Amino acid sequence: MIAAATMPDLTVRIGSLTLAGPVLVASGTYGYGDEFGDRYALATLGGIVTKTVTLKPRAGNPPHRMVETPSGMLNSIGLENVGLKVFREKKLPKLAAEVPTAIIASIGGETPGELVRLMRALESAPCAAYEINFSCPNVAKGGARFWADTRRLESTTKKLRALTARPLIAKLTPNATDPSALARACEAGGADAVSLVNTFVGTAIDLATRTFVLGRATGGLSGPAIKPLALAQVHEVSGAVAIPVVGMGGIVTATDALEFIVAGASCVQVGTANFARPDAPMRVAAGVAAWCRAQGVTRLSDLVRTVTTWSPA
Amino acid sequence: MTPVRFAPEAVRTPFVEAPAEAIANAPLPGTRLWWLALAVPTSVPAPAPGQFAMITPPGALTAGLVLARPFSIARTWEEGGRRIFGILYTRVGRGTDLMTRSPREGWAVLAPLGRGFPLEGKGPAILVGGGRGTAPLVMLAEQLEARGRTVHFLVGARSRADFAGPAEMGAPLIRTRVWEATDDGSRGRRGRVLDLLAEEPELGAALTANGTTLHACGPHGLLAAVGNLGAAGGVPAYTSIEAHMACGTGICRSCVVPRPAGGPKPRPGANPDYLIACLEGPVVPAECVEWARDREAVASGSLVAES
Repeated sequence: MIAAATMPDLTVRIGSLTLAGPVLVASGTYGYGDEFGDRYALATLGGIVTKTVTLKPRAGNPPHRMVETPSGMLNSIGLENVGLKVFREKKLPKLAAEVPTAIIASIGGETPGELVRLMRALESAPCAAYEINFSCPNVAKGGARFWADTRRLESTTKKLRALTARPLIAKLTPNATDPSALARACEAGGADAVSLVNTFVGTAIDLATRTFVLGRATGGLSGPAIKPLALAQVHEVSGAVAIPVVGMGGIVTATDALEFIVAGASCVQVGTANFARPDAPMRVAAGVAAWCRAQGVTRLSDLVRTVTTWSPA
Repeated sequence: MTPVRFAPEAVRTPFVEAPAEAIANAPLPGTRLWWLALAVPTSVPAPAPGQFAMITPPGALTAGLVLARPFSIARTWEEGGRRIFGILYTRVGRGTDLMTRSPREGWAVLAPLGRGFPLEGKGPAILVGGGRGTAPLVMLAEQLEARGRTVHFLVGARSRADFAGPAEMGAPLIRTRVWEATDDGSRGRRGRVLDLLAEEPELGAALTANGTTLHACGPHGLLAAVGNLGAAGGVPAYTSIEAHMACGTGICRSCVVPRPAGGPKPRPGANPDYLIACLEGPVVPAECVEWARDREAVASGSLVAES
């Protein structure tokens, strides 16, 4: 009985959805969730955000697509994915049958119309929510720049809102001068949450050949290198909107995750860390639960945006 | 010509994330190469020749290294109730530099990964290794030999300082014939490793024998040349490719290598433009790669044997 009494409530509400825990895996870092099968305890996760799906399959960008940088990595994958048909008919049903956690489908489009078509097609498929990728830095059309427009974001979110009762999470770019304005536009359009940050545009140069290391010159920076930048944006945006913020950017440990939560995130996504250690998100989830127990936190939601500026008593 | 063997499915062998202990980690005497022996629990499945491991040395994250690094497994054996992976590496960047300074405890391994070399063949097997690319060919030679195949192992390097053959890696090969070449002649024959095939009559005969297979690992320029050799002689050529890799498990889609237009048909559902090195490789038939558009092959082009 004592154990039950001290077990903190780690659930997270996003729209009509209740996530079992505050740690999810970020889009593009866990495939379609089926790659690791039952080898890892996916049930301890709040959810899996699948690799962004587009209407047609995409072959992705020319190599090199990735380069490691100090405490981070640049990627320029270019939304390589299997396309809607395979995703809907093969990947999602398998995921829903095999993975004991919420499946959040990430969708990406070059136009508002493409997103509408994707969502219409996915409404009959098994997934718990949608994350709209308004922020890919690595595509020529329909990328972060295209979507960093408040009117377009609001009107598109409205169209998508009209199509579904499932929660809508808008994933935003950090490469904008006013991320709060983007978040407010999504909120006004009816989004249930915003997720941030996607990657920061960056590049790496091979001096010997004076060429960009990445085939498409620039890529998106992720990993611990961006954590301070992401924390600041999560804090700012969570003060600008009433809907939950899904925080991410360089989370490797439970401490990182808890910092995002006290900064303003209702839940978090682990991304780059999954590449080195596929069990990273489960370790983070276990660490968050252990910390809450040790600190006597009874409800994780009580921690959200509790950070303050220090002042003398 | 023997039809190309390219499994229709990118079959994923079970891989395990495990802690590891470096029971050896020292330079090979007289070379720039290092030999690392990592002990992992036997719950990590035994690797096949050509498979690889993602390795994280202790303190990597603190040192600002967020990714594990891929290494082919040169040899594997059991010792003291643990499985040992023998790894050949060179200090080329921040990660391998950290590895040379790392203590015994606290390593992590994700293995075995990828698809290795086919072992089947009715004739002799010719193994061509350039630089540290000799590593996965050592385990391959061990297993080909055990199957009773005749094995010619061509070990090439720029100079003796970059040279590591099966003996240097401690492989107890019995019947494998080892041929040596260095660009500067400081070890073995002077010249490029593929020149051996033209200059040694025994190797020339092996190349034209019935049922011969070619197996290569090293700079992509060398792999391209081996591919040309195979195509010219109707000999299947299997090459172990490298690419910038983040996860090693097929998730991140970083490690792509261009496929040739009109080349071997990808398995259903696979990316038609690019091979995923970690998932469909690292060992692929040479004709599955468009070497002329491959950045590494172009960069190492000087290694392509003149013809």
